[in-house]
Amino acid sequence: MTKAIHSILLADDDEDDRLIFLEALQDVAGGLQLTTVSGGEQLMELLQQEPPFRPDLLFLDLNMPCKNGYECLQEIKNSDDLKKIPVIIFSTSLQPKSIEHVYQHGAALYIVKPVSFSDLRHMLEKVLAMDWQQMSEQLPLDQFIIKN
Amino acid sequence: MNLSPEPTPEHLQFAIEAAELGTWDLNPFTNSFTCNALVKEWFGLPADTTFVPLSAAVERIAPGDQPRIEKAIAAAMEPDSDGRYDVTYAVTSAITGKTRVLRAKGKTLRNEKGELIRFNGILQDITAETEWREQEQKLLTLIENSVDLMSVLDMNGINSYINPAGKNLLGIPPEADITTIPIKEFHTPEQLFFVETEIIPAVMTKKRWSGQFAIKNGESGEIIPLYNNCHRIDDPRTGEPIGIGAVMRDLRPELAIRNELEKNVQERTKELQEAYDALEKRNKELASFAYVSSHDLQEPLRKIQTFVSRLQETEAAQLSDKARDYFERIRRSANRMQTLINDLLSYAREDSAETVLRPADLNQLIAGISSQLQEELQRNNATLTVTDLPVVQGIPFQLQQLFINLFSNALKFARPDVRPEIKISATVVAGSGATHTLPAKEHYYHHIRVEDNGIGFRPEYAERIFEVFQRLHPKTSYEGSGIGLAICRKIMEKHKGAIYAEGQPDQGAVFHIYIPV
Repeated sequence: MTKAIHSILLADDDEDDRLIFLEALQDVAGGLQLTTVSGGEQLMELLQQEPPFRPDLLFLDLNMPCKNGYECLQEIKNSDDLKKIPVIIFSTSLQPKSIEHVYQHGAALYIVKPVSFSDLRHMLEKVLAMDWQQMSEQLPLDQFIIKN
Repeated sequence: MNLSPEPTPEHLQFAIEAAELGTWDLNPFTNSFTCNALVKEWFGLPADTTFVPLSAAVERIAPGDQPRIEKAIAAAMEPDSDGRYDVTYAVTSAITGKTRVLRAKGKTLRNEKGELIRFNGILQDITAETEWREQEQKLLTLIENSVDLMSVLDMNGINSYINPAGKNLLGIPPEADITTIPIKEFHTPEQLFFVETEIIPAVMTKKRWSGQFAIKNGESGEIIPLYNNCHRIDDPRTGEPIGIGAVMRDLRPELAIRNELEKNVQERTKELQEAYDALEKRNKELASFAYVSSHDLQEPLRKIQTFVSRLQETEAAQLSDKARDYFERIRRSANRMQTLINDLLSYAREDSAETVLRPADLNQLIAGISSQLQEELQRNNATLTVTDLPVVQGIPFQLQQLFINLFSNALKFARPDVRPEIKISATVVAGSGATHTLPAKEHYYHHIRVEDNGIGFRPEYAERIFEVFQRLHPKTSYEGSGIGLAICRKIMEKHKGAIYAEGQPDQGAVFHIYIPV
């Protein structure tokens, strides 16, 4: 099931969240390559370097200093090179306006950061089980948000 | 017919009768007089008497006039006077009681020795003229003392009358002869053009013109705005126009008041707008403060929860019973804090939510909620009874939130051994006729009752339960942050409606929702 996904990129300024994410991902799919960046600027730098780095999935936090998640999403989806990367919004809050905004800008999924560790693992399993190669089109809005 | 150029006594007698004049002739030696029939009629003297004592006539004269008349008669008969007599007095007929005002004119006649031999003259009934003059005097007093300009413009284009207020407005000295001042002196060329082309033709054809107008004060040059009301004055005999009467009111005091008022209104409006802006800014700040603080509070809290859950899941074996208990307590507290923050967040969000009203069918809305809450209803063995509900103008997702909060409360506060029953019904009430105070008395409201059979509450708490974080029960007995009903109230405020609660301990609660029709 996880064959299609080899590498995951996580952009999150919160060190604790990066650690928990890493631990949960190791529990769920130990063999996956996880790259983490601590901000929007680092993310865009990484994506634009040579040779090009193209993760199979990007987990993007919204609330980051300097370049935030909204800006990154917009830049990625406006770039012909990058727009094919599925972007999963990974945020603490569940704000109707921001959901609408990122949906319109082509995010693939909106995930509310789970509170319990087991929920996080469960969520990652769910996401990795999705057929990302086949998912060329965005999910309908009612399936767009994953809450735990 | 006597065609002699000299008038005969008969001619004179005829003329006197035609002129309705009285004649009298006093004999100074006897102090009695003769007079014609008209005089006898006016004084009420017997028609057959020839010589009337002067005293009999004098006593018919009004008591107030008597001394003056007696004096005047005596003065005329004084040897060194010119012998002329000209008086006016009132007399009351002894027979008919009718009072007349008479004017007496006469002259004494003396012989060559200078002895008084006759004193005679005529009497004229001037009652009608006097009355008319009194009437005229009354009207003239009004006109002369009016604060409005009153004038008469004759057909030759010259003012024949301007009252003192008018002279004052026009800057003409009181004693000036206005008939010598052409009317162009009173107007600017534009105004004069207007008078000649609009006002005068309108008055001539339609008999009147009224409207705003202006004159020029000749002294100061000030242009004074006036309200002008002109009428055509017609000759009562021929019906031909003989002039234009104008009454003009100085509009400066009125305009000054109007300007003052307008200024006040503008100032007030500005003050209000400023206060409103400040309030709105404050509200926005508060809303964003509540939002940001609760959003930012979520981050560390979530981490506490995550790490605790991580410990509980993976390290449980290494922990003592006590440590496990403590971690469980940390988890519960953190969960509770999360509930509070989430609720606070949604409460703050209601403020910034948009307020576009759309038709919302409450039947569909409640059906949706009941399927959403199906599991919870079944678990609590609860029944939900809905009678026909209206389509209201509302914000559907907010109304949904409102009913979810109310149903959840009903389930939460059920009596332990009683199957929860929730009943919803609706009527329409007038704002003035409802038992509760509603925002607008003149509007009609959908009155929706949500009734349960739960533990109820003491009536004195009916208002307090709508306040943020107000709880009537210890949090160990009933879950919740105490914000659900505060949200309900805020939602109803957004709908320009109202929500009230009614309850008795152990007798259930009724929530009254009012949504404008």
